[in-house]
Amino acid sequence: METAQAPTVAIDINGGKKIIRVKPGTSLLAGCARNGLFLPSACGGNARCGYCKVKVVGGATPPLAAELPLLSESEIAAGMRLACQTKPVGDLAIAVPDELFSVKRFSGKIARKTLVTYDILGLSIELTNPKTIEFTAGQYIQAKSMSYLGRDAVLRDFSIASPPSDSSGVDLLIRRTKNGIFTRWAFDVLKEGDAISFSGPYGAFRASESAAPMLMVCGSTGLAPIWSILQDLVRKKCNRTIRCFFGALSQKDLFMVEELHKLETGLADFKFIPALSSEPESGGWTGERGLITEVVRRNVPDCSRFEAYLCGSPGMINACIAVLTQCGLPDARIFYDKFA
Amino acid sequence: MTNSPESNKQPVQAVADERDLRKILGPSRFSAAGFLGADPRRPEDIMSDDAAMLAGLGVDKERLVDTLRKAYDAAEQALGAPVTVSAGCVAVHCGARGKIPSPFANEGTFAKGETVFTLAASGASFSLTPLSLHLIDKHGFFQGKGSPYRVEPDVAARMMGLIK
Repeated sequence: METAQAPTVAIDINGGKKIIRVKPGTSLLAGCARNGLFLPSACGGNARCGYCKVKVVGGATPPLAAELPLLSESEIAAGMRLACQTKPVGDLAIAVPDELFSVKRFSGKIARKTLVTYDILGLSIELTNPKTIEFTAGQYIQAKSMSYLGRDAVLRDFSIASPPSDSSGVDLLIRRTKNGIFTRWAFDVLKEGDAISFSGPYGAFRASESAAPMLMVCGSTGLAPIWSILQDLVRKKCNRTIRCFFGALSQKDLFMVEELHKLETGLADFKFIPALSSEPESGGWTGERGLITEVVRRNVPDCSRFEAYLCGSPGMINACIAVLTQCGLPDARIFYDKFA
Repeated sequence: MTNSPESNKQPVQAVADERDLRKILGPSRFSAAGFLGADPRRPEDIMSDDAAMLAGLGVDKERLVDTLRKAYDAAEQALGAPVTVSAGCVAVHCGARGKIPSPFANEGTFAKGETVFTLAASGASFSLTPLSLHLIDKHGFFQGKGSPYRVEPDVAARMMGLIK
């Protein structure tokens, strides 16, 4: 007896690197996930978060009205679509960043939970399934909270603070936000030994292979990917000149200062420069003072030979880019992980 | 106008729309507290009451939005350090990772992070986010009383120096 096979359409990903077949009308987001390709998403496929953008290079239909507010004109012109709203009824070809092929879903447990400052939490996740992770220093994961107090489980992005050489887990730095669903769960509900799941690694923020001197600027939990990169550079016996600026309001906002100063002996030419913008004169602080942008300008008035690595809030990144450009650094050598 | 039961009835569609509006403005996976707080008023009434208050004060909504936006930007550029944005009013910005979508469909996403404005003399304060600014700008929605990001129109206008 013959069985009728359900019709499928072919999705060609990155020029034949992977070809999957899905039922017509299935969203790209769901179809890709069922075939082991996990595109980032925070809203579960409701055209709300805009994280699941893919480039449709063949077989595209115009974007839906629901997609338009989440796509810029240049993105639309370039063929970008939201994977959650793209439901092919014919064969389709898409392009995604190559690193998404190595994204997996992970289960783990909280091995250590520590308060790093009054509003920053350090979480160490020990992997249980699979038991190891491969990533590049500078990348991030998307962690899932559990439902609590009637709130839905949510997905949020966090940079990995641990180095790739420690493949048995990941360390995260999480800053408490007043009304944050995930952060309140992490601070107030999550305990050592609890299960946690995440997907990753995501992102293209990483150290280049060049020999150019590096200028790192970060604030608050923006230190996480920088710390991962620095530990990786130590392991690789990097001999590049590195100047690392860490901006904070006051001494109570500083953390990992001792570990970072230690790298001044662990790396060939490394200097760590913490700077405080609102520390009282009476606080005994003898280090740099002022906005981090002013401190960078004062210490490195000519940035033209450097590569810059920035991680922090959009305001900090934008201000840094403006200053670095004024100090002679071309855009092409400014790399950043903007918290947006 | 009579006061008969008939005159108090709302059309079925209006009731459904109000329920939908309360649902989309309530707590969600993006906003733990939602946008209505403990305010028992209909969202439309919150908007019209606030519009009436602004009109009574002689303050143009667009001018208030423009002033708030400039003050927000000034605080963001100060990278967390306090900045005086009007006489006696200090603003402090706190950045946060990620974006939050508007509760209304097809309006895009907005950077997280907030600026807290405080009047030194009285201690009065309110928090402003890019999304709450958008809701005021596009919908005249200052959020319900008790919402963490409710902006009292008269307080904001006074703190921005638009009224005495």
